[in-house]
Amino acid sequence: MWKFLRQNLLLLSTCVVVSACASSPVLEDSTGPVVSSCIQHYPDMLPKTVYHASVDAGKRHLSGILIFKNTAPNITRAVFTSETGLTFFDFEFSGNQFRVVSIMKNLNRKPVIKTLRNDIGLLIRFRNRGTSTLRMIKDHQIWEGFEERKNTTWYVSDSLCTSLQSIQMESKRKTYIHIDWWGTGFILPDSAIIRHLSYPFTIHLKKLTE
Amino acid sequence: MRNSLLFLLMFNTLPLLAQPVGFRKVENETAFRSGMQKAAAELQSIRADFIQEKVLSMLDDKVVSKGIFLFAKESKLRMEYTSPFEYLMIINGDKVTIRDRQKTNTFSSRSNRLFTIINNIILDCVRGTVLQNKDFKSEIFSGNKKYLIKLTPVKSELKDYFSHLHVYIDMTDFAVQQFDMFEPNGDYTSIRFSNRKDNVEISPAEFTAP
Repeated sequence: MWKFLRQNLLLLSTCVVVSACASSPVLEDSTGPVVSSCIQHYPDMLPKTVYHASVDAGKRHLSGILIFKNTAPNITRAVFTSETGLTFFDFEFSGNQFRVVSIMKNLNRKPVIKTLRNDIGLLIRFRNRGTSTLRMIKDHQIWEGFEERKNTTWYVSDSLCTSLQSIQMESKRKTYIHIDWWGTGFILPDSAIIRHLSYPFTIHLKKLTE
Repeated sequence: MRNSLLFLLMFNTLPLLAQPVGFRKVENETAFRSGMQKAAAELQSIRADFIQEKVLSMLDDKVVSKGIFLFAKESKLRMEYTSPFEYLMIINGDKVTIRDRQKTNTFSSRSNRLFTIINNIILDCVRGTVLQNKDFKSEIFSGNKKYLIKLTPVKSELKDYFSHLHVYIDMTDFAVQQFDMFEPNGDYTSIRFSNRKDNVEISPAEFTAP
C-alpha cells in the first residue's frame, strides 16, 4: 500500500516539475526535468519552401501548390494555388498575428479560414513561440508543449534535437490534430501529414525541388 | 498654357497606357478575325510542350512547372504536368479527370463552375475560338511578329478570378503561342508552348481516364 502511494506521489511530483500532468503524454521514460529546447534552434528566416499539397475533407479532394516564404524575420506568407495557377489563398503569419491577404470567394468562410490558419500555423508558428512552458522526455523523444487557452500543442523532436518528428494539438480530454513530420535540419519538413482526429480532414504535403 | 499642354499630353498618352507595352491596337480587325477563323477551321489537333510560370506579385516570386499538352477537336484536352510535380488534367467534352499524387477523380465539369470557366478559357485559347467567347470583351493588338488579344471579363463571376487575360498569337500561322491569366490580386499565370506540332495523330486513349 505504502509502496503504491509512494509511486503515485513520485509520479505526481515529476508531473509538477514539468507541468504536464493534464496532458496525455505520460512521463514513463522521463529522465528528469532538465530538457533542452529543440525548437528554439529553428531560424526566424526560412528558405522559400514549395509543396505539392492535397487536401481531403470528407469526400472532397483538392490539390495544389503551397508556398511558404519569409518576407521578413518572423513574417511568413503561405500561398496556396491550383496546379494550373489560380490562387486559392494568401495568408500572412507575423508572430501571433494573422492576416488574410487574399482568398478565393468560394473559400472565404470563417470555419475554413480558422481551420487553415490553425493547421498551417502549426507548421510555422512554433518558431515564434519562444520558450516552451512544458518539456519532457517520452519514448526517447523530446516533447515541448505550449498551453493556449484550453489546448496544448506539443512539438516532438528526436532525442538529439536534430529534427522535429511530430506535432500534436490536444485538449484536456483528447488529441485532435496530429502532424507527422519528416525532414532533417531546422527547416520546414520534406513531407508532412496533418490529420484531424475529430472529423475527416487531412492535408498531405510533399516538398518540391524546383 | 502649361495646363493646356498637360491636358493635351494626358489625352494623347491615355490610349497608350491602355495598350500592352510593345503592341498597338489593330485598326482593321476583319483581316485578323478571318485569319483566326481560317486557322481554327484547319486545326484538328495540337501536341506541344508547355512551361507554366505562376508569378506571385506581392512575394516577388514565381513557381515554374513543365509538362506535355495535347488537344484534339472539338473539346479534348490533356495537360500533363511532369515537373516539379506530377499532375494530370484531362478534359473530354464535359467530363474532367484529375489525377494528382493521391487520387484520380472523374467528374462532370458542369458540377464545378470554376472548372467549367477555366476549361472554356483554355479550350477557346488553343482552338482559336476565343473571340467568340461572350464572357469576355476582346481587344486586338499587334506587335513584332505576334498579335495579342486582351480579354476582359464581362460577368462579375469571372471578375472574381481574373482581371484580364492575354493571348499571344503567331502572326504567320495564327497559332496560339502563349496565354497569361491575370488575377485581381496582381498574380498571374503564363502558359507558353514550345515544340508545337499541329494536326498530328493523337490516340483517343490519351483523353480517357487512366
